[in-house]
Amino acid sequence: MIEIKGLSKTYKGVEVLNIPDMKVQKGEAFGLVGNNGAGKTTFFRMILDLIRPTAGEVLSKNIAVSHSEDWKFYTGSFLDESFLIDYLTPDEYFNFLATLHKFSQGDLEEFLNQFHDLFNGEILGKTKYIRDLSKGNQKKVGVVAALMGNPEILILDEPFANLDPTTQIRLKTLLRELKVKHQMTMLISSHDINHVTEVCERIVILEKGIIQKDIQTSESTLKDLEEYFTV
Amino acid sequence: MIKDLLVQGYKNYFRSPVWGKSLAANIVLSLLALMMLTYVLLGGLFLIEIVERLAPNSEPRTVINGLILYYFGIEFMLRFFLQGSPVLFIEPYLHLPIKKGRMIHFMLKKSAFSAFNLLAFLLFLPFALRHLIPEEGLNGAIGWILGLIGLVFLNQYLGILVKKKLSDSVKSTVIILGSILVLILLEYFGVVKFSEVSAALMNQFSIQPILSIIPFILGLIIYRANFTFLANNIYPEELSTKEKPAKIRGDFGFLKKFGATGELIALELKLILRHKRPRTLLIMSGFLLLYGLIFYPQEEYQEMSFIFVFVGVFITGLFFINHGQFMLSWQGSHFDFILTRKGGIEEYIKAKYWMYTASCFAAFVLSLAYIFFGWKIALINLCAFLFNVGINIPMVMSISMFNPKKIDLNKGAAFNYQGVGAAQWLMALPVMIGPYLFYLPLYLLGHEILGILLVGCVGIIGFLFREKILMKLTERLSLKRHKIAAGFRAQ
Repeated sequence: MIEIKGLSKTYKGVEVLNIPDMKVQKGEAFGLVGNNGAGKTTFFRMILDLIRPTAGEVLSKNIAVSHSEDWKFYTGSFLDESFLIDYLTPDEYFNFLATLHKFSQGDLEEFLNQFHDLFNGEILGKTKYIRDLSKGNQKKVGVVAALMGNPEILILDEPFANLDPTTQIRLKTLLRELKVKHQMTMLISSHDINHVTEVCERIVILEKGIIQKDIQTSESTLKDLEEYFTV
Repeated sequence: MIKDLLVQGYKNYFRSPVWGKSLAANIVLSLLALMMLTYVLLGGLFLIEIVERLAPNSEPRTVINGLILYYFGIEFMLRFFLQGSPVLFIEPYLHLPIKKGRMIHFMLKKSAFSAFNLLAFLLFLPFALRHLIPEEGLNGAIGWILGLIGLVFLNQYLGILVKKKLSDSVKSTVIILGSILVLILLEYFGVVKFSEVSAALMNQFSIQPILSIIPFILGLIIYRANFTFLANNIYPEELSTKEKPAKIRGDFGFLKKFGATGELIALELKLILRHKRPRTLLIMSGFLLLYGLIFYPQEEYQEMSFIFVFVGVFITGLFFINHGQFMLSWQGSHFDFILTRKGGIEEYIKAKYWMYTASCFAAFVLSLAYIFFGWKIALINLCAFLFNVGINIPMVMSISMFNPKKIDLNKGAAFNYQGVGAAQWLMALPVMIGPYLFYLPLYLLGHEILGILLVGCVGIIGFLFREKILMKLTERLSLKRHKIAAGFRAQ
């Protein structure tokens, strides 16, 4: 589904990311962990063609993301607040996305109804602009927006950060469901090794822009990760 | 889809956090803009008469045709400095299922709806209607007008392209600036007379209307070039107008000698040098030191020397007036930090005071060059400097505490009214009128020098009582701190 070929990014002579070759299969849940500055977000940004790689390329369904924009139509993503149009209310934002996905009002309502519990009555039907929402609520809007249109690939950066415990658990369940039901390919980065091992079947550890470990999740993965990150 | 984007552009503008809060400033600005447009229109309506008055022996038509290329040169400069980049708005759409090309076309087309594009018509259309239709007939006039529209179109997209290219690479910067310089030199040394080129060009449009298609074709080519450039470079980190981390590494270590106050001044200097808006203000203050040259050499002002007091206050106080009016706003994004530090407010006030004093002193020293125009000017500037330090600085600091607004440090300073509220409009009054309260009575009684000295003395008295004044300012800020901090957080 996604293929990385000799991807590298250099800022002012310092290489911040170098991934020689890697593939993410269809339906795979791919978890990316690493300390601050490991290059997780840079990596995701390059997959979304938001940063120009210094060398190499990212292929989505065998087509380079920088050459064609077809991937946009089957990829849902939320990395940070700059993905939101922050001067709209959440309703306006969802409505706008609905027109992009050619949803009818009914489709949109049906789609949003699934997230009724997640939103906890704080998001829809309010007059607050997205920029005035709390970080956690902004994240909810972004994640739900990424799920609209039933994407084949889902890319989320730190989806659990800033969320309350209830929502973290709900989100975890939701992601697992999506994987089973829709065969969704997921790329998720997280600092929370607990959550990420529960959701993802493949974990990649990134450190200083280089892949240190690439493992299939098993019983012992959580322990291994804890060991790895204990200094 | 287009409708959605248009509505969102409109919401972006009217829902911006500063819009509602600076409503008064916006109204005043719109009125000013309207006034300017009216002047331009009046100028256009009476263009023929104006030209006849200014150049009585020439044919107005040749003169006006000759002026058009210069007009577009000036319009180009105006666009370059004042027109915003149309692509900033694009970032949150990049990951959505919309083709980039569609967004770029939209942004480029939308940028055509700009007041700049009206100027040429307001200025020259009346001339075409009044003069060309009777002289050249309808066809000629239409050719001429189409040529004008084509040039506006060309200039619009050339402006956007040049602005983008300038921030792109050193090479293109050199090429663009080089070609502008070459054009100016060609004109200066009389190799090419652009007035003649312009007159010939515009004449051709009315003689052979079909030729007016040329600027349109050129405009389309430039539009295409814009499109290709944007399509290939539309990466947020490359487009962003935020300044790259400045390479100013100065640590201002020498200020450490002055303890906590010195440290805070060093911090403030870094803030000034590392952000666009305060840096532009600093550079502007430097340039405006030359303000005196408008007044001092003129014979007629020698008779009205009372105006020099105002000039003196302005020259020696430029930096603190410009910077001080937003004294708290500069720290708007980390005001909580200041409040939670040990000795926070007191040291903060002290640091600002001494920084403004030092800036006044520096400006005064530089203004000593004006002694060339007579010792009296140096004396006036000295007394104005003292008055600034003793009275005006504390006054500006005090007024700036009235309902400060957060500002974006990385936006340009020219025509940027973010953070301007009632206090900023009113501030100029006491600063300018203050010295006259002491100076004018003695001046009217014929003791001008005594008046000047009195202004200086008042300043010295203010300076001697600085501890007391700073204490009062600290108290005032302490009282208002919760309200101000809440205001900054809410924006």
